[in-house]
Parts: sequence; structure tokens; C-alpha cells
Amino acid sequence: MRRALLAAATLPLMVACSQHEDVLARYRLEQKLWRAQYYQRRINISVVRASQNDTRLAIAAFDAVLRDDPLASAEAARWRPEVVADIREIHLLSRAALANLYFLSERYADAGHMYESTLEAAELGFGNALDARLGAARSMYLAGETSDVMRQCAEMFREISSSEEFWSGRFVPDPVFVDIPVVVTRLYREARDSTGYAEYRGLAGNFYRRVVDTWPGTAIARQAALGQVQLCLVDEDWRGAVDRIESTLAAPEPGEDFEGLRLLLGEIYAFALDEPERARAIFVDIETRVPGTALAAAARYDRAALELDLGDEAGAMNAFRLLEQDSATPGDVAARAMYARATILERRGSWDEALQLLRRMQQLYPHAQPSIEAPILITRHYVAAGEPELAQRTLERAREYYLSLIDRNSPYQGDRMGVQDAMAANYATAGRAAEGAVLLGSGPSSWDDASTAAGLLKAAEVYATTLGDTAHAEEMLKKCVERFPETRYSRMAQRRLAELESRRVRR
Amino acid sequence: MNIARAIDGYLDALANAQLALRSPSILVPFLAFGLVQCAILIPLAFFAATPFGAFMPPVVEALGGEESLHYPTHFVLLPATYRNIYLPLVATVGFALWSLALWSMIGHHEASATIEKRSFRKALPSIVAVGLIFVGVTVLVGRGLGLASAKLPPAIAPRLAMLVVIVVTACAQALLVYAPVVLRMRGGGPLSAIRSSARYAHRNFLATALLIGTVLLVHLPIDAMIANADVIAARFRPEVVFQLMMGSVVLEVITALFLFAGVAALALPQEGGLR
Repeated sequence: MRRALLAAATLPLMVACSQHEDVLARYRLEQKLWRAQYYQRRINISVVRASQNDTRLAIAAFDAVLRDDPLASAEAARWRPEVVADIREIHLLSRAALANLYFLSERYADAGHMYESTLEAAELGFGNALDARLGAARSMYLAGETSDVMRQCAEMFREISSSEEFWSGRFVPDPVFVDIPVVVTRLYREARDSTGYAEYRGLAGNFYRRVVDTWPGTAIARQAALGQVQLCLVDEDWRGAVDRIESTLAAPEPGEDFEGLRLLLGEIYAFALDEPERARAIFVDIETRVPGTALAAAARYDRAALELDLGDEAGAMNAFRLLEQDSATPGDVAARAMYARATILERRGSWDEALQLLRRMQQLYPHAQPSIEAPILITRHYVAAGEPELAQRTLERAREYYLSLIDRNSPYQGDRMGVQDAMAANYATAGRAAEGAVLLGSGPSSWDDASTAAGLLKAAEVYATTLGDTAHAEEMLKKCVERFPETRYSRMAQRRLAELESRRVRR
Repeated sequence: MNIARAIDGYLDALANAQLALRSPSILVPFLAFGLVQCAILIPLAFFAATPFGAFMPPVVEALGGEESLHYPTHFVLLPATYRNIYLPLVATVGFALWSLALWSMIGHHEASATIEKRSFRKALPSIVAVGLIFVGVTVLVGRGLGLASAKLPPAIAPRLAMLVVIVVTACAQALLVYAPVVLRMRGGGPLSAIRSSARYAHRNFLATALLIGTVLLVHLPIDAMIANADVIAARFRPEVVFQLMMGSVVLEVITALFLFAGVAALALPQEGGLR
């Protein structure tokens, strides 16, 4: 009797126990998720000065959510579908949040893998899956995992091109996804993977053709038409590119601005197909159509450069001078014109005038690319003229100028790695590559992390190629791996170290 | 009753509450009801923890709905979920225990010698009936006035409307609060006790109002915080809502003791005992 009563009392308890394990598991996960989101909110509130500790705590908290996988248990098969869906949603949310936090902490490889893991979730919609792939590709790029970038881009392309949702018009992708086919093709070409390149070149061409045919006259069709042009440019199929641009220009859409495309057409005629008459006509046409604009200035510059190519130095000089004097000319075009004129003057033997022009250019447009290249031209001239003291003085001035651009507090918005390249080239031109390598590898405190890491890589490159000093090159690369782990710089350094190692073994 | 007498009665009530603290038989029923509330509130708040996880989820779902099974919504909804248990509980167990303490208070007083002895067990149904009416009236008045204030034009400040609700509820409670004392002194049914209570309250209105006003005032800050459980949960930790509710339980033990001791102090002289 007593046993029966005990059993009767225990049975409902056991039944209750087995029926609510799913709810309890979900509740525990929600508790962990709340804690993780609490740290995430703190980071979001003060994103600029988010303490490293909060990011670390948030990563640990989201990691704890993901480590708790109640669906792995055998009983989970019997759980209520809505509770199971909630648990999956929590995991998905945590993976995405963790990927973002890894990205924020510059743990790009981890971020990429985490984005990839979100793709395993069955309930991830088409758009979200593409976003996750884009996140993975971006992270892998920053982690220096080129093959993974190619794989993700190829997958994105495959998913879009085979998606019924996309072709039915139900899913309108972000314009960035329409550029993916060109990116994939270019990546395969740059990787010298002829099989992959041929395959994706064909697939990309078919994709763009189908987009143009499916939605004629729409923005996506115009983007696809440009994609076809870009594919031709990747192939260096200039004639094909010209045909496509001309067919696009032949049927212009009202309200669309095709002058940029027209300029590209002129540049292909001028500098790739050697058809100066056609190019000249196009440049003049642009100048007439959109006078006083940046495009018109670019067309004028191209026309002057074309005249120079054709041997009309006086005509080109005059055109460049007029361009410099025109107040409507944008700074970068004016700087290019001044630089071009300085090179002509140097060639003609008017060095003082050329130097004066280069100095004025640096003064007026200190952040323009020609100004960054000017010290190399000056140093080369003095070295060639047998003036080591002047070359040395130029180098010292250039050093200060380059360091001011690379400084983390500098207003310079351009590519700091490009400045480091110019600095290395300048030292190499002066025959003092070793000094340049030491400077690049020293990574002053005024440089940000990206500049310091890139400086170490550049220094290693100078040691390895210009100076043939493999030991120093390896030292720089190891320093880069140690100081910037899990970044693309570290990945690049590791790859280069492996190359140097294999070269040494072969010897 | 003039103001001086009202204040005098109010101070007597405070002194009586102090006396009540010295006797365990008076304290225990108040503490017992506090413990009963804790015994319900803890499993309700931590239903997912061992050992409550085995049997509490269906209870929580039945009381608070499916949303109550999620974190942190569960803590946001905890006051509303608990209210579903609290109201019947306070009307029955709460009122019975408080009345028991009240009877013990009167028993400890010299005036009890002149009052006829009555069985608490026999009076229990009437006490529970009074409790149900007391809680029912409080809820109905509160809800009715709440609905009425919702229809007021926005020009009238919601805080003013809330103040009116509190004052009217306090008045309704004041009319019923002496019923347990009457049941001890005179016996009879719940309706006659309520009628006598209303008469007492009318006679001692100001002192009674001060007494109930003090209780409401003490509860006001913590109740206001609990009413904004969503904000509390979002700004701090969701578990803070539970901590506030536990604080409210502790506060209720103290204020109930004070209220009933005050009621006894104000009522006994009228019955010819305490002078």
C-alpha cells in the first residue's frame, strides 16, 4: 500500500520531469545569452572606448552559450518543435554575435570560421546566408586566407546564380553581390588557377547575360552590363570591353550618367588599342558634355597624356599647364599634370624648373599620389647626376614627409602601405635600402598597428629581395607573427616565412 | 474625533506595535505568512533550478502563460504571475494568520479578562469571508478606478489619477480593517463584523486613515519599482525584480504587524478594555 502510494506520488513528478527538460534547457540558454548580451550592450554603448575586458567577457559568455548544446542529447529528438527552434535561434544569434566580436577583436580567422558555422543553421534564410558568407569572406581576407576568400566568394556566386528566389525576383540582393562574379574570376586569375578561372569566367559571363535578359532596363541589368565590361578588362580583352561599352552607350537609360564609362572607353582606345583619333574624339566629347567637372578634367589629362604618347611634347606640356592653371581641376588631376610636366622638363634637361614644379606640387597637394612619388624622381635624378649630398638631403626630407603621412594622427586618408612602398623605393633608389628596411621595421609608436605590421612585412621584403639578407628578413617576419597574431599580416608573414624556408631547403 | 485625539490614537497604535514585538505568539503568525510567501515565491522565481525544475514549469506556465517560461521575461512577469497566487492567499491564509496574531494580541492585553473567550477555529470561516471581502473590495476598487482613470483626458496627470486610486482604496480598506477585532470581541458573522468595522472606522476615521496611509506610504517606493519590473530587469539584472519582491514580503511582515497592532490599539478602548 505504502509502495503504491509512493509510486503514485512519484509518477507525476517523473512525468513532469521528462516533459519539461526542453523548456529548462531553453531557459538556461536564455540566461547565458542574456549575460552575454549584457556585455555586448556595454560594448555597444561605448564602442569607441570599449574596454578590452568587456570584449573578452562577451566572447567568453557567447562561447559559453555555444558550448551548451542541449540538442546534442538523445532526448532532444522528443522535444517540442517550437522549443527546439528557439534553441537553434539562440545558437544562431550567438554565433553571429561571436563572429562580430571576433572581428572587433581583430581575430579574423576565428570570425571567418564563426560566420561559416552560422551557415550550418538550416533556418538561416537566403539573404542571411549570403550576409554570413560575405562576413566570412571579409574576415578571411583580413586574416590573409586567400583560398578561403575565393571559396566563400565562389559559394556566394553559386548560391545566387542557382537561387530560384533570386531569379523569381523575390530576393533583391545588395549591389555588392552582383560584383561577386567578377571578384571570383579576378581572384582565380590572380591566383594563376587556370581551371578555376576558365570555369568562373564562363559562369560569370552566363550569369550577367541572364541578368541583363531577365530584367532589361533595370539597375541590376545595368550593373550586370558593367560586370560584363569588367570581365573583359580582367581578360585584357580590350576589343570585347569596347564592344560592350559601346552597346551600353548606344542605348542610354534616361537619367543615367554614363560619362565615366565613356572616359573608360576613351582610355581603352588611347592606351590599350592605339586608336588615338577615336580616343581624342571621345575625350573632347566628354569635355563638351560635362564641362568644368572632374570627369572633364580627367578627359583633358588623358588627352594631354595621349599627345605625349604620340610624341607631341610641346602640345602635351601646354595642355598640362592649362590643366594646372584651371581652378576647376581637381587636386589629384592637377598633381598628375604637374608630375607629368616635371618628367618632361627633366627629360629636356630643365631640372631646376622641374624641381621647382615638383616642390610646388608637394606644397599644394601633399596627399596626392604624384607628391608621394616625387621624392623618388628627385633622388633618382641626383643619383644619376652624381650628386650624393643632394640625394642624401632629398632622402632626409622625404623621410620626414613620409613619416608625417604614416603617423596615426595625420589627416592623410590614403593608403599608408603605399607610402611605405614609396619610402622603401626612395631608400633603394639612393642605394641605402638597408637604412630604409631598419626604419620600416622599427615601427615607431606614432604608427598604428596596421602600419607597423605592414612596415615589418615591407622591411622583410627589402631584406629578402633587395639586400639578399634572409636572416634579417626572417627576423622581421617572425616579429610580425608574434606581434600581430591571427591577423592577415601574420598570415602573410607565415606564408613568406614558409617560402623562404623552402627556398633554403632547396639550396 | 478631533485631530489631537486622532494623533493620540495613532501614537497609541505605534506603542502597541512595539509591545507586540515582545511576544513570539504575536510575531509568529506574521512571520509564518512571510515564510509561506517566500516558500511560494522562491520556486516560482527559480523554477528552472534544481529541484524546482522537476515540477514548477507547468505551474509557472499555468499562472503566467508561455512567455513566463522565457528568460528574462519570466522575471518581468513575476509580479503579475505571483499576484495570481498572492490575492487568494492573502485573502485566506494571510487574513487567517493575521487574525490569529490579532487574537493573540488581545489575549495578551489586560482588557481580555473582561472579554468573552471565543474559539478561533469556529471564527475561522467568518475571518476568511472577511478576508475575501477585504481583498475583493480592494481589487475591485483598484481595478474600477484604474479603468476610470484610463479614460480621463491626458491633461490630467496620471500620477494624480494614481493618487486618487490609492486614497479611495485606502478609504475602502479603512472601513473593513476592524472586522477581525469585532469578530474576536463580539463574535457573529462576517457581515455584522463588517458593519461594526465600518462604524468604528467612521468614529476613528482620521487615526485609521493615518494608520493605513503609513502602511501605503511605506510600501509605495518598492511597489512602484515592482510595477516597473521591465525597466528594472533591463537596467539592472532580471533577478533584481525577485529581490525587490522579497523586500516587499519582508516589508509586508512589518507593516501588517504595525497595522493590526494599531487596529487593536484603536479598537480596544471602544470595547471598554484598554483605556
